Order: sequence, then structure tokens, then C-alpha cells
Amino acid sequence: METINSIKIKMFRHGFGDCFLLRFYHQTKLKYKILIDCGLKLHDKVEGVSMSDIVEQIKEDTFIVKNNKKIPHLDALVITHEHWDHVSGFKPEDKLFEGFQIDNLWLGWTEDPKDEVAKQINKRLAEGAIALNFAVEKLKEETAEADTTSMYMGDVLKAVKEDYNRILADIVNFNGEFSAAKKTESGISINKDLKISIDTQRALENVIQNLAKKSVRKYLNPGEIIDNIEQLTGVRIYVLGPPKNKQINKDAPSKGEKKEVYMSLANAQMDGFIKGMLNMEQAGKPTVLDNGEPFSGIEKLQGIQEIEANECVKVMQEKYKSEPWRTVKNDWLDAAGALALQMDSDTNNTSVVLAFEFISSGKVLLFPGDAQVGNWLSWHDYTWKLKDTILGTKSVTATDLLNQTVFYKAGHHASHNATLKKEGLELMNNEELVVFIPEKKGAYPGIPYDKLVERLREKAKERVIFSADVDYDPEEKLKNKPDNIISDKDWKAFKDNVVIDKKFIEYTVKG
Amino acid sequence: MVKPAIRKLKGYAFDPSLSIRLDTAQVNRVIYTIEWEDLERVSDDPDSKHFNQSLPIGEYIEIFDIDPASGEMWYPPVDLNNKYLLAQDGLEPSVSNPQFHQQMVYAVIMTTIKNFEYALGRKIQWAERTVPKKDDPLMPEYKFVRRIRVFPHALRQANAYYNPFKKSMLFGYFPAQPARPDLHIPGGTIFTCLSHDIIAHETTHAILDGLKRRYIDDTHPDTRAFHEAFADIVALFQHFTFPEVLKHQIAKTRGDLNSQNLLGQLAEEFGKAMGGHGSLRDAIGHTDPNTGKWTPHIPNTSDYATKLEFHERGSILVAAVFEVFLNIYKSKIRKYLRLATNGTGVLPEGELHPDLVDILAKDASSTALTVLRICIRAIDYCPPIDITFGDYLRAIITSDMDAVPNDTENIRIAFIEAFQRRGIFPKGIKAMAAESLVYENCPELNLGDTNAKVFNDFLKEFKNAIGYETNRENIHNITKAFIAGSGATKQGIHGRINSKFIQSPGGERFKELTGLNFEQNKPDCEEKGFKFSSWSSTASYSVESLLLANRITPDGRINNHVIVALVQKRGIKASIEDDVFRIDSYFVPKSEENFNQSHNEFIFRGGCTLIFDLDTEKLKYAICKNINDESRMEAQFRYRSGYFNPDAGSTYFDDHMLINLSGPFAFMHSH
Repeated sequence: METINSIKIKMFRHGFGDCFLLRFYHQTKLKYKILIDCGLKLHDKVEGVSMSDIVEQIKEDTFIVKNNKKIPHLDALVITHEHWDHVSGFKPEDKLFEGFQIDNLWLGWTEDPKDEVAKQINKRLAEGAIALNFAVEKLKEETAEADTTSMYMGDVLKAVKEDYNRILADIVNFNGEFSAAKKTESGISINKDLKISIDTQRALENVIQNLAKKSVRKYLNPGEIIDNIEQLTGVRIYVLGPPKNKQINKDAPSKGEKKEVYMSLANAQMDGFIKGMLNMEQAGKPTVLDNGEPFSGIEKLQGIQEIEANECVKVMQEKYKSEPWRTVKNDWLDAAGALALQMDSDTNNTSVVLAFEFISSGKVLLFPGDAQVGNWLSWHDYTWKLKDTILGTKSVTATDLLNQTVFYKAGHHASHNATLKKEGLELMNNEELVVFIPEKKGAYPGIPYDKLVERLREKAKERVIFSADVDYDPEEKLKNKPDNIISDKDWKAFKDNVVIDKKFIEYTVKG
Repeated sequence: MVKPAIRKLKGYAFDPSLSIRLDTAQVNRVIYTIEWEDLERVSDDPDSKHFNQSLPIGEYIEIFDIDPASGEMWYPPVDLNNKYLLAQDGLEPSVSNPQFHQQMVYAVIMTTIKNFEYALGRKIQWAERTVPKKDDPLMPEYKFVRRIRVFPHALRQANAYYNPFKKSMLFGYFPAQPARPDLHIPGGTIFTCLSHDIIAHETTHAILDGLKRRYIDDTHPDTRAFHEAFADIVALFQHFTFPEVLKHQIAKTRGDLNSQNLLGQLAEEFGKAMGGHGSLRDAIGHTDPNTGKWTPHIPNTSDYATKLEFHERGSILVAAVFEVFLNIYKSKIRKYLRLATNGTGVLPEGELHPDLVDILAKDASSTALTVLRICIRAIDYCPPIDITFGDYLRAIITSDMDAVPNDTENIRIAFIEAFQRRGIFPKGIKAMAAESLVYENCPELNLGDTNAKVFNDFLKEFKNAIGYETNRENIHNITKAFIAGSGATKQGIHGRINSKFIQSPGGERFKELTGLNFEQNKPDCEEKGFKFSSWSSTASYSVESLLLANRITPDGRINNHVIVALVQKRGIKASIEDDVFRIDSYFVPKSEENFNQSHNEFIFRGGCTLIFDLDTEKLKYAICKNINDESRMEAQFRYRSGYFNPDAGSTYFDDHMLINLSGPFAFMHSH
């Protein structure tokens, strides 16, 4: 039996986005190759490290020889969730992964077209995406006519609104780039039959229907263990997320942060906003929800004539128009920001979360995708039952896995709410902990979250590496051992296992 | 015909979505009794057929029922002067009638305004609007705002807020959560404008903004929390002033003193109905989801030090005041319970006698009114900037001493205890006793006889000028003239403070009392971060407000006070190295500094509330926040650093941006 005793992890340095290649070795023999995500934030790039450069590298690292031909080969491809910075590499036009042999495709249960709950979640996400996109466009129109009669509220308000719109559009850009089908200014295209956007959907479809057509498709459920792959003898893979939504039929959302999991399903706060947006978007088609009317069964004025006919309303309208600085035409659209955040975190929470464990040493490599607080919390709801040759059965908890984590791929580019504190990072107490952060400072305000990075540095004793940060030179950082926090021996052990290249940084974990 | 003194309007006692939960459907209706006011006519032309029709536009508010989120629909305005409506106390409460919604917001807002006016002893004014000065567009000009605009159906969100830029209150509506069909009709709509508590809460934000415009500045963990908590306190105790609301719950407690905190449960239910709104939700206690049993929170002296998130922090203050209410109420009703039980205090099995329920409910409601008035009145005794809970406690104690010199009901002790139990200790106070908490009465200030006389005469003149003025715009304009002076001949209070205080023999002492800096030459001023005013030849300061307070005290006396607020600012550049705070330098703030401050620079304010007693012709209190207080500078700097990079912060949008968008209240409420 050839047991896996080392794993090489490659983090690519193409910009703000995730692309990780895991290669599993027995001694020097490459046994198994898993690629987790391949994407880049819309409009982002790093000079000299293009997406095709990194795919070339992946080819180089994974090929097998068949009939004297090099064929790039992945034993498994994992797509954590449908965000552009995780899937853009698979968009059909670029043909980057054409010719790859992909044996297995692993997706979250939320992608399973037969799953009823997944359908509900996806429907809501689709509605939210349409509403959000429409709101973003509306807000842009409004910004153009910002009021200038109030002190500070003229130019300043305009600048603030432009900032707001820009960031909003940026978040919406997580959904992908615009396609020919329906162009919008914010740069995404959407279709109500799809989940998030045509682009992410097309990228994913390209994987499912084309690139990985012949592969075995598996939808992952939390609580599962993958331990039956022959080439991966000596390694167990735990599935921690995406969480199964327990809130759907539950009375009130749980207290605290747990309510974050797919909030849009259990929480009506945003419902009305989405309805209103859909209604405006489909003006004239009386199809949606409350028909855009909060009151039903009352006598109400319809049409301009009837309103004109009502003297009182007319008087009110005149008064209303006479003071433009205090009209409220589009104030309700400001909820778009909250909706964008919610959509963003809902989608992030559909992330596949995997923990790879060396059976002999118990060391764990944790890949949480972009899982946010709710997803993290749900891990603790499960125990994984193992058949142990000596002990009979043994239960493993998320706490055990976190405790044994020696490699952590920072969740959601190290944003503030994608690494749980008490029930997450603080449980990672292994002396060998190394953290890789795929991010580029300045791509989004607040990412990475400085206080989190600070804590990661403490926990990992400075063994923290960034992918594409501007002005960040990993070699320089590794040159000098940080004072007092880590022993010479540990620092050297770490350094010796890191390979730095312009395109990637690779770290080898020994089992 | 003499106009009626009051207008009666029917309204919901509880949020209609709440009334299904409490078995209170039978009492879910109260009659709001509001001071009569003339409403604007649809047409001023006596020959018009609309001459007798009114619009929902009164002295303080104007209700515009446009629904921009539903195709910019307009709902016709309610005609509260319609004779049929007058004859039946307004429209019948109804979720599906937008005109009733207008009536509801009108009734609650006016009730709230009148509660403030009674407690403060003057008419309330809304915060002024800042516009560019005509001849100098870089300078601000402050304009009178007669009416707050109210939009009962402005948002499709579970949110409602006061927008200080637009001087408007916006209420949202949202679909009932289909997951809870027991509480709401699935697919039904919940309107925030039908909740007494939400309306009163927003109105309080608007009124407080008019009273203390600097309280919007987020300079201390307490400032935002205070705005929220104060709005909740007003909403809660105003709600409790309706005995009908309390009867059901009191009957349930069966007069048992130990279960009186069921009133706390009622308060919590109100809080829940407000959703993410305010601090009330979890302030007083919580219901165990498994047993359904309600238990009050046990206060902890570490609460104030450890709870920093503003909702949570606000809940400390709400809970403290609620405890005061319960304690006063409990001691009040003891005698009735003894009477009803032949002195045993042990009630027999079975239901309470309805007369007893009536008496208890009335006592609870009058206690609520007492607490409400104490809490509102104290605002006049607060510093103009940077409020902390400790300041508020001192204001409560001081104002209550003025109103009720003899604390026979031990109300002040109840307040002190409740604050103490939560670890709220005012800065620099050695003992938590009323005598130490009260601000120094008539601090010594020797101005010289003529100066004092001239100044007091001036204040009396002010009183005479606005004491009998009923038009709020006139009050505003006269006050402004008294602050700035009019023309070349008449000196305003600003100039008089200059000549009668700063330049007088008592100048040094005045500086000490106000905690402000009156540096007298330009280089010195600028070096210390103050703008030099060539007009007054001192570091510049502003007279933020000049108010008359004519209060009738509970024991029938009349307090004649004039309240002057002075505010001063300076620019500070500071840093923290190895956790040690250091002031690097000062800079002179530009005229508008609220935007685009760098991380190390900040605007620091000092301020002082001066209360003059017209009867004794003395400065009664000087309540100050020192402009040279380094520990306050450090606290603000540290708080600000956390604010730009908050622990629980949200990615993407920072608070600063959101606040500039539609004011601080919109986002405080939406989570």
C-alpha cells in the first residue's frame, strides 16, 4: 500500500481570486491531483501572471503521458461556490482548461439540480441578483441628479453616492462579467432562470457539460467523509460545508450570527425590497408577488387622470415638488447595499468546505472556500463517525479538525467575517500552523481585515503568506526570521518547505 | 365658535402584528388625545368646495403619503377635519387603509411632541437645515425648519428612520415572514408606521436632534447608544402612559409584586415587535425558547465596561431606567395591595378585582409619565456635546432636584442605584450619592455688579421677547437675533459673554467653569488648534443655543431658566505608539471638517451648558466638557481608530460612508 505522506499546495499569484492545486505524494511519487477553484476578480490582473500563465503551470504540474502525449490531468476538480473570483478560469471563451482530463468533479449539494432546498436557495439568489442589478442601475441615475441646494449635501453627497455605487457595483461584480445576452452598466448579466449570473453559470456549465463531461460528479454534503479513494490511502477528506439549511422550517432565526446562513430564505426583511425591484424591472407585467402594491382591496387611485382629478393629492404633489431637497424618490433603493452584502454572504455560504487529514499524524489542511460565519458555525453541528481499526468507532468533531489544522487557506481573502473567532481560529492551536491568504490589498475596502491578519500572524507565528498583494515580496519576508516568536528550527523547517515563484507559492506539508 | 381644546384620534395600542401574539386583541385600540391645532386647508379660497377640507399638515409635521417603492403611488391625504371623522374620533384602525396610517403617525408624533413640550417648558424646534450662505457659499447658514416631513410608506424594508439631512421621517413596510404563520398572515404586510413604538422612537430622534445637534457626532461609545436608548425610553414610557395597555398584563400578574416584572415582559414584547429597531429588544429580559418562561436580566456592574456595541450598550440605559420605573411602581402599589388583602399582602386565589386592576394600571401609567418627564427634562441639563451615560445620570439628578427639592418618593435614589448596578459611574465623582452627583449649585462667579446686572437684564429681555411668542418661526428668529445681536447698536449674547464674562474680573473663573479656551491672540490660538476670531479677539467659540425653560414643577412652582450652550472646537493630530497616546500637534479646523478627516487628525470639541436662573439672577449650573481634557481626547481618538476599523465592522461599506448617505439612523436601525 502506498500511503500518502506529503501534500504540495500551490497558491497561484494571479490577483484577487482563488486557485489552489493540491498534489498528493507517496515519497516522490505523485498519486493524486486536486484543483480547488480557478478564478480572478473582474478587471483585476497582475502584470506578467495571466490566467493562461497559471493554467500552463497547472498543466506542467499535472500532466500524464498517454500515447506519447502529455495530457494535463486532474483527479478531482472542486468548485467551492459560484463567484467570479473562483470560477472565471472556466469561462468557455478562454478555453483555458480544454484538453484537461478531469476524473472527478466535486460540487456542493447546493448545485444539485435535484435538491429541493437547493432549488429554493437558487431561486432566491436569482431573484436577488435581478433586483440588485436593477437597483444598481437606478441608483446610478439618481446619483446624476444629486441635490446641490443643501450645504455639504451637494458635492459631498454626490461623491459619497458615487463611492457607494462603485463599491456596490464591485460587489455585484463577484457575479461575473457582462455577456452579450443582457448588458448592464454594472457589468453583469442576469437571467431569472439562472442562479446568480449568466457568466458564472456559463463558467460552471462549461465545467459540467464540457470540461468535466466524462468525470464522475459528486455533490458534497456536510458530515460526509471521503475515505475510499485508493490513490489517497492515508488521507481522509471531511466535508464540512456548505451547510444544510436548518432554518428553513424553523420558527425564528437563531440568535446571533448563525442567522446569517442563507438569510434571504428565512428572513423577510429584504423580501419586500426584492419584490419592489422585480416589479419595477418588469413594469407592466402584473406577475410578481404583491403586484408592487402594499395595499390590496382598497379603493385606490390609478392612472394619472384619476390622480389629477383628486384635488387634495394634487395640492400635496405641488408642495412636494416645491422642495426638491427633501423628496424621497429613491431613498428606498439604498437598501441595495444591504441586499448586496446579504447576497454576497449567502453565496459565500454555499461554499464547499473541505478538510484533508493525514490519518497517521492527524494533521489537517483546511480549505473553507469563502465560507462566512454561518457556514463556520454549522460545522460544529456535525460529528464524523470513523471506523477505527483499534478503537472500533471514533467520532471526530470540527473542534478536533481545527485543533489539528497545520495549513489554513484563509476564508474569503481574509475578510472580517469569514474566519470565525472563538469557534474557529482560536481553536487552531497546532504548533505548525501555516496560513495562505489569496488576496490583493486594495481590491475591496476592508479586505484583508487587518485585525484578523494580525491574529493570524500571531497564531501562525508569522508563517503567513499572501498571494498577490501589491508591494509584497515573500522572499524578502522569509529572509529574516521574526524575533522571539518562533524557534530557529521551526522557522527553518517552514522555510525549507516553501517554494516561491513569480506565478505561485508552494508549501509542502509532510504527513 | 371657540375651537376645541383637544382632538381625539383612534389608534392602535399595539403594533397590529403584535396584537395577535398577546391576547390583547380586545384592547388593541386607544384614543390619542391631542392638543387641537389648525390643519392646513386644501384651498384657502372660501368659495372653493375644498375650503373645509384639511390636509395632514399641522404646525410641526406634514405627512406626505407617496409610495416611491410601489410605482410612485400617492395615497390621498386624510382629512382629519372632516365632520364625520371628528364625530367619531377619526378613522377606525385598519391595516389596509393608508389614510388611517396617516392618522396613526399624526397622533403618535403629536403625542410625543407634546410630552416633550410639557417636560421642557417650551415649544420644541427641529434641527436647523444647513445651506450655503448666499454671499459666501463656503460658509454655512442655518435655516429654520418649521415642519418635519413624514413619509408613512417610503421604504420597502423592515426599517424606519429619521433622515437629518432631509428633515424627514421615513417609514417602511415589508411582507410578513411566511415562516411564522402563527403571528402574521403569510403574505400580509407589516407597516412600521402602525407601531406606536417605532413612530415615537423616530420622533424622539428628530426632537433630540433639534435639542442637541451635536449628539449625532459619534465621539464616544455612549453617543450613538444614547440616541438609541433615549428614543427607546421615550417610546416605552409613553406607551406605558396608556393604562389600557397595561391592564391586561397587570391582571395577569395578579398584583404579585414579585411577578411585576411581567411589565418588563410587555416591554420586551414591544421591543421585539420593533425588530432590529432600537435597544429595547433584549434590554430587560428574555423568554426561554424552550420553557416559554420569561426571566429578567440580572444587571452586572461590568455591563457598562464590557458592552460596547451600541445596541447592546443602549440596552443598559434602557434597562436601568426600567428598573427605576418598576421600583417606584412597586412601592406605590404596596398600600393598595395591603388594603385589598386586609393587610396580609397575600392575595386570594382567583382573578384580581377589576377595580384593583384599574387602580394599579393607573398608578403604573402615572409612574410611567413621571419617569418619562424626568428623562426628558434631564436633556436640558446635559452638556452640548459628547454625552455619556454618567453625564445623563448627573443631569437626571440635578434636574430632578430643581423640580422636586424634597425626594419623598426616593426617585433619585432609585436612579442612582439602577445606574450603579450596571457599573455606570460618572467621571470624577467620588460617591454615588445625590449630593455628589448634582452639579454645583450657583457656582461662584464674580462678574462685578454692573456686568451682572446688564447681563441679567439682557436675559430677562430675552424672556420677555419670546415668553409670550407662540409662532415658532418668530421664536427662532428672535432667538437668533439675541444670539448674534441685531445691527450695530444691539449687542447679542455672544458679544455680551465676551464683554461681561471673558473680559470681566471673573474672566479666569468663567474659563474654568465653561472649560473653554479664550486665548487672546492669534498665534497662541492657532498654535493650540483654535481658530482666532478677530471679532471677539479670542479663540472662537459658538453659541449653539439659547433657550427659555418655563417649567411648572410637580409641586406647583415655576422655574424660570435660560439655557445657553457654548461649543468650541480644535483640531488635534495624535498618534498611539506602544499603546501610549500622544498629541503630535494641533491644527486649525476648516469651516467644514466632518468629511475626509485623515486617520491621525480629528476634531475635538469642548462645550458647556450654562443654566441661568432668572428669579435669583444667578448662574445656576455650568455643565461642561473641558476642551483641554486630555483623557477625553485620548478616549475619542481611540474610539475613532476603532471606528474606522471596527471589530464588528462590515466589509465593503464603511460606517462613514453610510452615515453620509442618509444619516446615522438609517443604518443603525437596519441591523
